[in-house]
Amino acid sequence: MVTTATAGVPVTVLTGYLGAGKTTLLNRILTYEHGKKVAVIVNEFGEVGIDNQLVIDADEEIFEMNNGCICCTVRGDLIRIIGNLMQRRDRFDHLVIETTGLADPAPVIQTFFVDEDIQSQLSLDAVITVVDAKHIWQHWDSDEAQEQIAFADVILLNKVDLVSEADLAELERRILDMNAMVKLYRTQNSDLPIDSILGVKAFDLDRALQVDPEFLNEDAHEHDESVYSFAIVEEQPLNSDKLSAWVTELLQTKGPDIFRMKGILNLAGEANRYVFQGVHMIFDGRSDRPWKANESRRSELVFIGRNLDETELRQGFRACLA
Amino acid sequence: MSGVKSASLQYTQYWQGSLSDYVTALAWLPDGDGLAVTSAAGEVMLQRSPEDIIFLQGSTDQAINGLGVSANGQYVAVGGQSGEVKVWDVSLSACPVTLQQHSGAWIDQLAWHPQQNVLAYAVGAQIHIWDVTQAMQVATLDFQASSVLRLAWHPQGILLAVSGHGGVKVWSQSDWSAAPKLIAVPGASLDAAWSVDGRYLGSGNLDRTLTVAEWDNSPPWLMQGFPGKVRQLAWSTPATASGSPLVAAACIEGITVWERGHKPKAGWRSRVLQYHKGRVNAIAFQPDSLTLASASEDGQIALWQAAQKPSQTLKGFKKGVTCLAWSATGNRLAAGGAAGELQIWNVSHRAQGFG
Repeated sequence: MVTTATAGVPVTVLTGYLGAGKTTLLNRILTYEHGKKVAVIVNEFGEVGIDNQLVIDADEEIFEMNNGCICCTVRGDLIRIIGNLMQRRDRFDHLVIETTGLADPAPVIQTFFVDEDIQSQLSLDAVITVVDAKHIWQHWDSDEAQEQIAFADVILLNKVDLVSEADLAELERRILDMNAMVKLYRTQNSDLPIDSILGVKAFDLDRALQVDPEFLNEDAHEHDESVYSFAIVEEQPLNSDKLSAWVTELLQTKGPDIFRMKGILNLAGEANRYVFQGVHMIFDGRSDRPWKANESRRSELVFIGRNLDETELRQGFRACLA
Repeated sequence: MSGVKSASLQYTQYWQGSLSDYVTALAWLPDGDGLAVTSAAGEVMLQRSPEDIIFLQGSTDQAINGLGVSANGQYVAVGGQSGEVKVWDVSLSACPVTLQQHSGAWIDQLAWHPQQNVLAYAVGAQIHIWDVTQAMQVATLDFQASSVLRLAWHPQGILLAVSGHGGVKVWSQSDWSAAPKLIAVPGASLDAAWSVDGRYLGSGNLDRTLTVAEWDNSPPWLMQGFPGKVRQLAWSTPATASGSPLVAAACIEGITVWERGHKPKAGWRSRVLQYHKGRVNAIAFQPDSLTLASASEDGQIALWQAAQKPSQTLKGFKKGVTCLAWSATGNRLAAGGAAGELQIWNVSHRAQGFG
């Protein structure tokens, strides 16, 4: 249905509450000598920008899309501003989009799958969320804090100097329960090697799944939060027709609750691995390289979502076995 | 169809030039000799003849995206990345008047009234209406639902159509304070265009649809089945035998041409024009003709005789062709490219042979 662009300007989406350290990180990205010309779209007035940098203001505008197979929201302001920016393609080679502290990251991500101009000219690199390790608890139950954590590929646990090791470990455990695919970094002043946040290629299907093997082998268990992630691992091959029908039904009925999903599938009768990712109702998948002789053919999927019925999803998946 | 130019046309290169970056917009002066051109580097060029080229503004490193020439040819207005709207009185070759500075806004939509020296431009969701002769702001309108994505004056100047999320809102010049009429569309309207006779208002939509409203005659038609967003519309000046003009819609690499049926309540039938190997960036009908020109990312301009088949192609662009414009009489065609190229062709009827 949709295919990820293979080349194009990489885009980093930066989320987090006001005061978490987003602007500090943005200024590090802009001043760091990484040899990249970075353009920035900001949604909040902060002290961003140095001379000769391309920094553009945009007001978050949510457009609803409903064209048959996809119901979703996209960021209309980004479609317009990125259209203008791409006419100046040679002025930058990386784009950073900062969202407001109260933003749901989903419309930004969906824009990169739905708008054909953006899809063909840019590629989403990663969603980076900056979390204030001390003050996050004040917002822990809010939708936006949970969405920003659940959609993240990389989380900076910032201001770690203000919290105890025990509190930090507990925070990490709870974040990983919500989002098993995320890469965590402990930071002070948003300081970390820039190459751990730029060029991550988290949306690249070729780098399908990088999850802690321990997590993959976990059985169903109780979760602390309404937002959580879980993995399905299955050795038996899948019937692709049954799977396709199940996924279609799943996206239509559970799309709003599924934040992200990602996986590698072992389809019966196929020499190649099938790799996919999803964001709400958007599904992006394709046949990948052949399974190697020394590799165990098995399906591995990760779901991240809100109020997902883990047992029902596991049963639905098992019903697709060949 | 009498009086319609339908014979095969000949395009001879009249002039070529270049700007330092992506050509963002072209606008002819009403005399058909002068052409204003803007670039993503901020250049504003005015070419009155091949020997008379002036830069109203050189490269500023702030893109210019909105360009318009007033109906009487006296004023050139631009807007862009800097958030400024500048107007030059080209009859005086004086310094520009900066109407307003809106820092932080990227101004890409502006449109002159089709008869008066009145300029509409958008800053986010706000539409400013300026009387440039009086140097006075006439009205400020609020689209509310989103930033403005297109401004289109009714050919008689009595109405102003504004595209954005939720559809096209149409204000009346006789009473700017009255609530606008909404032509609702699914998702967002990306482009709004009036037919030359003012009878129809079309909207190209992000949701892969085209809406056509017969003005004051509801409900509008919704055309579906497009493979991508409908980025631009163009109406032919002449009507076909049905009494209605053609409307062309650019979508990804193709163009769909819609023709209304003959019966009074008839709907619209479509045909798809396929030739381009890259995104179609701009389309325009030759004035008083059914010849359609299309500019594509593939570096070519295709000319579709009777809006049916590609009769000719024009090349000479290193990268994509980004914009094109016919002069008012249709005797010249100008186009700009992604690498800053500019071309103007003279258009004439091909000499008839003897057999």
